[in-house]
Amino acid sequence: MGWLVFSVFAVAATFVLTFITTGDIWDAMFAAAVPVGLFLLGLFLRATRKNVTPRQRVTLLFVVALICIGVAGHWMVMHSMTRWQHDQLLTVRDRIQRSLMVSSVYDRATPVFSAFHSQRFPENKSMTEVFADLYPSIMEKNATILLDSLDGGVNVYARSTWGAMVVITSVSSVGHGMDPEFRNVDGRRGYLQSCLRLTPEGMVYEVQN
Amino acid sequence: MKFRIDLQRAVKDPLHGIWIACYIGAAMIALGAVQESFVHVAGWGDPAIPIAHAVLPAQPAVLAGGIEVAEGILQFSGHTARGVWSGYVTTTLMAMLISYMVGPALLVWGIRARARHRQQIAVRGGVPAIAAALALGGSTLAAVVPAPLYALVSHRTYTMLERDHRHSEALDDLSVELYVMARNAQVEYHRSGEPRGGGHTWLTPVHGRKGPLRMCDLLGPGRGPQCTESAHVTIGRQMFSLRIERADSLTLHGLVVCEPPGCPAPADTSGQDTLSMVVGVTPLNVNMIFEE
Repeated sequence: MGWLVFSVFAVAATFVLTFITTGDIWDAMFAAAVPVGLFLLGLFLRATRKNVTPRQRVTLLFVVALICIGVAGHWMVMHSMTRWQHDQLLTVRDRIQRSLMVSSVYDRATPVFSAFHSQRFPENKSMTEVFADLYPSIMEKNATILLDSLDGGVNVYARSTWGAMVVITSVSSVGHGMDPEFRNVDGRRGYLQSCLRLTPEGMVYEVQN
Repeated sequence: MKFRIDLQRAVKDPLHGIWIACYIGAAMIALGAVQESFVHVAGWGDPAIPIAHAVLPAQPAVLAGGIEVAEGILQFSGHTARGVWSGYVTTTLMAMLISYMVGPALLVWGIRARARHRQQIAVRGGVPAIAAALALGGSTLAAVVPAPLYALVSHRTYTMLERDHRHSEALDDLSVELYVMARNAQVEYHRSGEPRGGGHTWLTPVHGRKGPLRMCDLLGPGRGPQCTESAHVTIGRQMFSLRIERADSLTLHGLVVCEPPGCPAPADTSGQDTLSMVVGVTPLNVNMIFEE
């Protein structure tokens, strides 16, 4: 009984310490599997110590090994499958966010570009002025304003530079980009961000993080 | 006659194999009921946490997998769930201790105690203790042993999921390409206007400056010498074509070959499995349709 309590304590301690250290449930499981394996080995040796013929011992060993291999296989499949599902959820989220970000900037830029190129002589407004006509917010030079907050967790910002160019930036409030230190236009760090530079010649889309 | 005698003996012997099988079955049902009640009492009916139904098999690996996926779902919606100790983690640890330590220990003790009992040797705890140990130990073993079969079935599902996911990624990449092409087409349309205003078109040359829209106008820089009038282009596994319907309306068609084969869409004329999308473009709108 004493060795069972000791083993349970050892397994629990290994599990808890690993989980606290790494924060990963599978790391904790695999770390705790080591003392569990030692316990099962001890249990097997103890159980087959007396009143068991060598033939019975080998048969039992075979059956126990088969069960252990099967359980290990189950663990490996569950680990790879659920880790994959976890990663895919984040990938899908980022793909949705990126699609939303692309469409959000183009949806706002295209009417501006259309209006700019539909001006009739002698009308000759700059891109910034056309933008300000369509989005009557205060467009101060080099000031970034929040244009829109979308349901999918994407915020759209706009900034004018030199009158001829408007930069429309979309930032995700959920998805993380490649560079965790990247400084987003909203002051946060590491989130997905892309921008579209709108000039009289055309639109250039760029993924920034 | 022999069967009846055996049956009468079995009924009178509370540690007979038949009874032990019944104890194990009853213990499994009872444990299932206890776990189900625990799930409800603990308030794990949260639809965001699919772990509740994974508790029943009492498999630590299933529970850990449930936690992994649940963390993914929470992170999907912007929560930070990684590495937070919760009731689910405690349950996983308990399942591990019960399934791989307490259960086997009880089973071994129960088997040895039963053997001694049948040899008329005094056993501490007597028949109820032996029956309980065998029932609990046997039920945990009965839950552990089928796990490899479950793993086989899961692995098959997992392989199918991986393949389908690669198809959806290919379709997603195609839709992004088509979307950017459609937006490039809009830019070309608006730039085609006359200096005094008006005259925007995708159809005819303007001031001799440009002809009808070509694939190179859509593909963007660095995408190879695709400036052909035929308006068909193949890039890797993706194929694109362009058809100008009217001065202010065009259709883009994109197609991607399924790799590995087996996507749900029907095979094309060349016998390849493909996924395709059609994009209707007007000067201000983009309308994307997945073709089934």
